[in-house]
Amino acid sequence: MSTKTEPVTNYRIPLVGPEAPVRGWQEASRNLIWSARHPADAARFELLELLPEGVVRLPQRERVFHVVPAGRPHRIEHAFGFWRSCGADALYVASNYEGGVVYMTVISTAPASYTSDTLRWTCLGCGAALHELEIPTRRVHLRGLNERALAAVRAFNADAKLRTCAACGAVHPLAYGFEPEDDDDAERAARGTW
Amino acid sequence: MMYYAEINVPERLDALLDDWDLLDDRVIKKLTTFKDVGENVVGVRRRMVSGNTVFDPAKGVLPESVEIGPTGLITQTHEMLSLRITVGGAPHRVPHSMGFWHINDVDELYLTLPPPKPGEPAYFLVIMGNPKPSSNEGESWAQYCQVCLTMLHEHYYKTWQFGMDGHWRANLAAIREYNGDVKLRTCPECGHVNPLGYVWNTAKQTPEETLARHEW
Repeated sequence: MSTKTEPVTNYRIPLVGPEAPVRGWQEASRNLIWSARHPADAARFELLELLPEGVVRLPQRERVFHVVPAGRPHRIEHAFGFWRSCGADALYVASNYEGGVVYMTVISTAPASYTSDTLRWTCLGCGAALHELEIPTRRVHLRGLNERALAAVRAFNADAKLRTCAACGAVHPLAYGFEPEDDDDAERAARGTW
Repeated sequence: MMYYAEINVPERLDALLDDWDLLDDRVIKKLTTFKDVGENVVGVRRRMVSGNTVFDPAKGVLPESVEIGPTGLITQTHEMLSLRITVGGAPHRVPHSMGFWHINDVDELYLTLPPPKPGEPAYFLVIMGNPKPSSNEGESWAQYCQVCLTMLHEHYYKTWQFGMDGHWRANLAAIREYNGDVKLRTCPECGHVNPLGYVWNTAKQTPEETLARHEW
């Protein structure tokens, strides 16, 4: 017996209020969406980008709408513990509101050119490349991306050689994945520090 | 590749990243209609928002948006800080703002951010994919009978080929084509004669279309 379901033609995704997750990723139509919020007195999430000139930290403003171009390594401090190079543009929004600060990232999976994400770690001391891997996001979708990213994080954390810079000898701190509820104790502690 | 210490911002950021904040007063002026921003098309409107109602200085009160879903009309009221996605292929319109049903092959996203201070305009963000030449993704301006929802007219635009440069001209052509022939506005199923359509841009409307904007 088949079950007939109507196609979904619209999505409503509250970013604040009781229906909104405090933090998390979701897939809606052809979009990967991350949202988060916290009280005004909590430490803000901050977006960093890797440019050839160095690391750029996006200034904090009352509200900001920024586009991270496809292929540019970026990360949101305390949200995911690696540099992510996405096969599509990542649209980043942060805004003050009456309850604190709200954040959103939207990545469209529609462009045919978006086939994968690359995760990489670089030495926090001197910037040398430490480790990277590619995840076929188009094939594995958000769930697979999360699972594979977490597996990569744990492999990186488990191997001190991967985390030790060959150039300067600095040891990279432990990494953490996309979803805080997946953290073990060490990852949870790491998420709070960098 | 090597990456070193953080660059001091914001002084140098503007030199490194053009228009890095789309809500900056200098940048937002470029987005009052739509502008290509990387892989997307982005529009930002400053609008007064009170509760669930948006006030457009040229169009008046815009209380809701409407979509034609699998089982009929779906009405949505406006919500601050709630991301809305109209999935590609779903006919949608805003009464008194869009005198047509827009059918886009790509998803459209809407988000309203709070105003800087109470009593000031909020930020209404519209984001949609920018079809690449290889994608064959376009859009339509369509008309449906207001009584029985029979499709009356559809004007298709090859966005993937002509881009946003021709978007507004095509919108105008669609409306003038529909308004120019009462047979197009007369439903072949129920006989209802539907009102004139009108374009998004109030500066392009005729006096008759201005009246139609008030009506529906």
